[in-house]
Amino acid sequence: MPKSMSDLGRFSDPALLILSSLAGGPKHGYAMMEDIWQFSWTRLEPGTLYGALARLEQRGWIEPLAPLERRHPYRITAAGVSALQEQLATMSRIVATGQGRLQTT
Amino acid sequence: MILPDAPSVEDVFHGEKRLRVNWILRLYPSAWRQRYQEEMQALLELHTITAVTALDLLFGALDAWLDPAHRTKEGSMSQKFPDTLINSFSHFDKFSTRAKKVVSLALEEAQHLQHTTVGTEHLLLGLVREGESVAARVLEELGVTIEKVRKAVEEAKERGEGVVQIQIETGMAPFANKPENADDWYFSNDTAATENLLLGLLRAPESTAVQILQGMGVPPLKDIWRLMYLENMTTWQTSNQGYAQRFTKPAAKIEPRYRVGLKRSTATGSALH
Repeated sequence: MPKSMSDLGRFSDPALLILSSLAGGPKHGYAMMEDIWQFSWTRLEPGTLYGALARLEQRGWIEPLAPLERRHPYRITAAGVSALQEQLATMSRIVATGQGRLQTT
Repeated sequence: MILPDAPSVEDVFHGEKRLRVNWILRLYPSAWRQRYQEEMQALLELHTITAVTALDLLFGALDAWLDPAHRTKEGSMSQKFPDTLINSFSHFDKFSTRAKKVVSLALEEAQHLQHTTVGTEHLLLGLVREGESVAARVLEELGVTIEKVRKAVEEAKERGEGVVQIQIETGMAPFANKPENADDWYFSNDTAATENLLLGLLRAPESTAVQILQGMGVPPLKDIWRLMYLENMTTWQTSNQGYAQRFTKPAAKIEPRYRVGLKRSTATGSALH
């Protein structure tokens, strides 16, 4: 059984945002922060971002590419894609259930 | 290890009203800093820094200390990155541990210089930086220091077109073969040692590494070959002396060729007293 995203504790939300951002293509840290702000209106702070990045890298869900100037771009791995899919599937079940129940009440 | 400077009042309140948070990065474990500090600094330069940023970084530093992967150098990301890269090339199977370390250092140097390919010049940097091997000591005796080579590499890179860059896959190939004029001795076993790496470098006269060495007035291949042989003999003698010192005086008087079998008893007890 592969590890799930919720094992990341307080880093699970930033991890979800990072994986969603990298699903659109490789990015370095600052580009991820900007992208995440645009699609989720969440401002990740650098300390949190790198806490989550390091964990994702350790798990092999993302990997660094050759550095450009001082920065490593990161890309999502196949394992990262399936972890993201699993998490998003859980979330859509929650969304569907919650919305359905709100409509009936 | 550099101790963190406490931020002065000026740092906090002046400088375009920006909080200076770079000092917090020094609170992170060194393994973390080796891997992430540079890109974090690049990010902070672009980021709008608030008190929350500072607090978040402080939490980040604490978090990194609690994470065992960053606490030890061995387990750090910076070590893992080049190692996995090296392990992915089957060429390196037959490299000695030191030679692998040289290649790993070469990758680090290339990364540090932001070069996209690993060339002979980076291998030369790796050889010099490793510091303990026969090849490194010969280079040291010839006055080839890491600072000089780094400077030369940066100059060569700036020159642009004159630089011969060898991709890591093809660049490794010559080291497995025996140089035509070399003694069989170095190539009698299957493992490529650091000496083979240096000899391999020197066999490509058009390479950046050789051009750098020539610029430093390093003698041609046949002389380096002799120096390596001498260096090896010295190592052999030194380790032999250490070996001899482990014998008690009476044991030392015994003909050397008979000593081998006595090693354990004389080193641990006084069987021959």
